[in-house]
Amino acid sequence: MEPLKKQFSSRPELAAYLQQQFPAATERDPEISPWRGGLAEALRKLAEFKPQRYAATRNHLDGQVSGLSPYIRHGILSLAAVKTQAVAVAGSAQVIAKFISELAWRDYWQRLYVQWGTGVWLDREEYKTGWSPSDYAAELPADIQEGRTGLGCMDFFSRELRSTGYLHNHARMWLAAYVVHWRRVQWQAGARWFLVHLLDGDAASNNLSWQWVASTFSHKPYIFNRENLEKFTSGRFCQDCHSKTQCPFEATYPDLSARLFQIGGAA
Amino acid sequence: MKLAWMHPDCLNTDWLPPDSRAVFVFDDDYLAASGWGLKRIMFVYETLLELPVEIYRGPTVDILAQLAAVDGIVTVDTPDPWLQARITELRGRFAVDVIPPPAFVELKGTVNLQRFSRYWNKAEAKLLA
Repeated sequence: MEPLKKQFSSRPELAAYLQQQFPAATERDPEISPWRGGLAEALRKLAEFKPQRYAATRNHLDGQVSGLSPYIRHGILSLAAVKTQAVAVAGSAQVIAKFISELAWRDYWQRLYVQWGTGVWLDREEYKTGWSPSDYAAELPADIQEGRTGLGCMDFFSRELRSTGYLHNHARMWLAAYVVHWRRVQWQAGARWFLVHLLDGDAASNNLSWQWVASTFSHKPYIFNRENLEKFTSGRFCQDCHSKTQCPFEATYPDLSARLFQIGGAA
Repeated sequence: MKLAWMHPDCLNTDWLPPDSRAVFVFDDDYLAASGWGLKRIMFVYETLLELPVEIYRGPTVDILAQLAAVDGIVTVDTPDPWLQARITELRGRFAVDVIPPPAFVELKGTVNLQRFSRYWNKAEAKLLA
């Protein structure tokens, strides 16, 4: 029994070797991310991160986020090590409370994973949308997967997900809300798609976040509108969007709730 | 010398005893169950290239059984049900030490996980101290 190779002269050589070794996985997803694995890269990102700026800018696509989630998910860095370093940079835990609370979300999801195991694939509660689970499609439509919905923002996020294996958290929420609420697709279909592509994907953080958006693990469904998306993307997707005159996100929250759900109550 | 089984939730040899032989196994069953594609394999493989770890491909328990030394196996705990099932299988055949990963916050007693806010109410004071 021979171990696999560990010496490679370049990234493309490694990629070619892995394509040959893992044909089934390559069929599921043949892309190579520009994101590099490894502790050295994780420490480089950690050193660049400015935790003091996180709270004020984190919702913006260009905001100061750490980009450490793939490294934390795989135990390359522990949550505790990231927190310790961020506190050392900031001077105190209090001034980076928001960042620490976001690290705590992962700890929370992991604790639920211990309790629920494969139950993270089940609706934890009923949908608070007025729709029943059977009203949602079981399969993810091809136009979403292929990034050809005609919506500039969603198509960009879909391509970004496939080509890099990473999406800003706000983009994940917008895309998930679009899949579940605008297209009325079961959250499980979206969650499976994300898990194929996300470098930081695990069934707990991923699925339970989808359930938070869907409302099967939250008090109300998460939705957004064009004003919100434009604000946190500096309008970059809307300017040249083919659908800008018929944007499905262009409405007030009460109007969107009335349009998308059988009962009111989204925010 | 113990065999240190590194799995996808633990790609850090510092979490394992220094005097052990570190091994990682790419298992087709895990890859299919987890939906992994080439992107993820590449990311994990690049991480492993930096580490003193032997990389194998095949059914996890069979591979580890062929490599397991008389001193047994050591690994890091994980909530992943697929990995937990492998730990259970290994325990039927070998002495297996399961080490907890580094703790983020130690919470005593029962922790209410019904909503994040309940957990945070209990964790906040310790985390922001």
